[in-house]
Amino acid sequence: MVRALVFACLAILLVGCRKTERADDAHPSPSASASVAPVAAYVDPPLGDVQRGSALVAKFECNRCHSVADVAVPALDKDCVRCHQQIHAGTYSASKITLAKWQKTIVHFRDTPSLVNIGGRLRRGFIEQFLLEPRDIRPHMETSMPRLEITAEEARDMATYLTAGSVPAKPVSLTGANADKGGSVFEQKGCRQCHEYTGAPRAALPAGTPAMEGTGERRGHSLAPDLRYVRERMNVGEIVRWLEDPLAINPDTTMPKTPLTPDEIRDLAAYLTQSSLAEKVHKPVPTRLPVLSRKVTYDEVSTRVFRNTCWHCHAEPDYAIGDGGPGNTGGFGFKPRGLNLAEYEGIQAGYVDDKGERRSIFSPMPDGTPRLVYALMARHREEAGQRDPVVRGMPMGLPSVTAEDIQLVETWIAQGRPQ
Amino acid sequence: MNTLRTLVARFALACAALSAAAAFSQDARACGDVFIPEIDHRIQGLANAEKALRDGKVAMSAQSIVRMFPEIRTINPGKDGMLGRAQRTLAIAIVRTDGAIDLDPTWRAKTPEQRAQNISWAVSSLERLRTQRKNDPAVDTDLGEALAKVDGRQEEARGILQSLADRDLMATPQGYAALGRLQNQAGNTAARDAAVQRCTAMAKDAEVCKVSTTPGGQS
Repeated sequence: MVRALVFACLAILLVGCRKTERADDAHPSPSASASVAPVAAYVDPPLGDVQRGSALVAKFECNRCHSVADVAVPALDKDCVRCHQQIHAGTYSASKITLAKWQKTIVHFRDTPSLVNIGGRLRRGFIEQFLLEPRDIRPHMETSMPRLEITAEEARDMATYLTAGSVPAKPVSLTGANADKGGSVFEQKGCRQCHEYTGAPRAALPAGTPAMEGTGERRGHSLAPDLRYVRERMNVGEIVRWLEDPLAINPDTTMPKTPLTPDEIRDLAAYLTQSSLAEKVHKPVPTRLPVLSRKVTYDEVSTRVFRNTCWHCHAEPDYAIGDGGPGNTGGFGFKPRGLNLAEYEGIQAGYVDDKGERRSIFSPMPDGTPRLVYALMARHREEAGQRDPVVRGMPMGLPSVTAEDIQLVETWIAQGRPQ
Repeated sequence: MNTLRTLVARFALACAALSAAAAFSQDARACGDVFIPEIDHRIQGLANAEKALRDGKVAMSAQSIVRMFPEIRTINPGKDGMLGRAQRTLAIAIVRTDGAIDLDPTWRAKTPEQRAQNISWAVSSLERLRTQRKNDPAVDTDLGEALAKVDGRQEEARGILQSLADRDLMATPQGYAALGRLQNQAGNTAARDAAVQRCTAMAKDAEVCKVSTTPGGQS
């Protein structure tokens, strides 16, 4: 029942919100007064320090989720993605019954983009900015880049390290390329099997061509970015080189080498970088629901929220779950917070603040909202493109908890946190 | 010669057993399932014992701990988290029954002396846990509840528990109940009533929050 509810919530998040977005984006407003113009000429930011960048990649533990060149993979109990992939592949060392149970429940951290030769694809300036202000650019991947505790200088150093040694593509001029033709190629070649291109004009499918939208294989569909961001992420030369032979640039990519003529590639590049885009439609922030009048117990709120979501990063290290998670024993550059959300007593016992003092997770924020509820709502705001300057949204890097579940948490707090 | 062969065979068998155990424990740890562990059934058993303690089934909780961890009364868990949790669960169970858990012939609770000795063991265990888990309000709450049962250490208990209450970090309703009793003994009725009110809001069974309102009295 609970599982069904969770899947239903996830489905609402995925299908409900994003379908609306897709529907809007598929037919941009004819008035197009809010259309986004092609971006101005890109200039690389100043270089950072490669050595410091290398140390920072280790500090922020990028390899726990991403393949990084010259950085060893971590132990399996710290490697969320590899562990989950092994479970789904059936190669993880556990009984068939256990694997079958886990395979049904594990939906997050199955796929993450490789950072190997990332400088051969993405602009250094984009990487730097993305580290500071991560956004959800992969509409079919539920996991997203967490907002790290990182300074502008650190982001610059890391971007410099990650792109060091990459060979830039030759600059390509798109003079004479035809974006409309590129749009037709995009549809004919089945790019929509995996990719969305929100806000862009959409060419009609040639007669007799079956619609293939969203029919790509699971991993490719999950990893495919929304192409509205291509013009921020890549230079034209890199786009052309990528379209010519993606596997030559990133051997781990799920993007196939598509038969394209040089003219088709240039037309596609023009379509991806020069089409007018409708404004991004953000997911709306849900209204905070009033506390319930019925009794809410710890068992209910734990099953729905704490032990469904929170404990993955906030648990006890001594309880057969590896290191206790970054939200307890530290990780991804975050200090240990000593927060255990897997047990009633741990939840009451609070977290360690920046000064090393214990604080209640129920203490009121300036607007009176309990800190825990505030963090859950902050995640909704982050998904809507509104970064909270005070509190990181939780669950970090995962879809927000539903308004109904936040209501449950808030009711439980208002009732005195009954066992 | 036969003896040597036997020794070699035993050694090989022991090595094989150790390797198997190591392999199994890795399976259970890595990406493990907190609720249904792959190998070590005691993890689930311990979770059940902790839940039984929370649900007020104190004797059942203590007995299951001793069945699963027969050595728990004599060892120092050190950094072994599971043993630490097991010892904490047993210690709290003993505190909540005023030392009156009669486990087996080596652990009796028939006389006041035996019960006091049991409480003393519980306090020592929790104090040792506190040195290993500094700045952990859950441990402080348990220790405060235990010290409230020890003559001569009740002021210390009151200080620990009131500090937790002031910061909204009390981990259990039983901690609030102990604070309520201590504040009543000290004649602080407002602090007593506040503690009882918080206990009542938190507790599954409001019985645990009963505190005498007789000045200086105990419930």
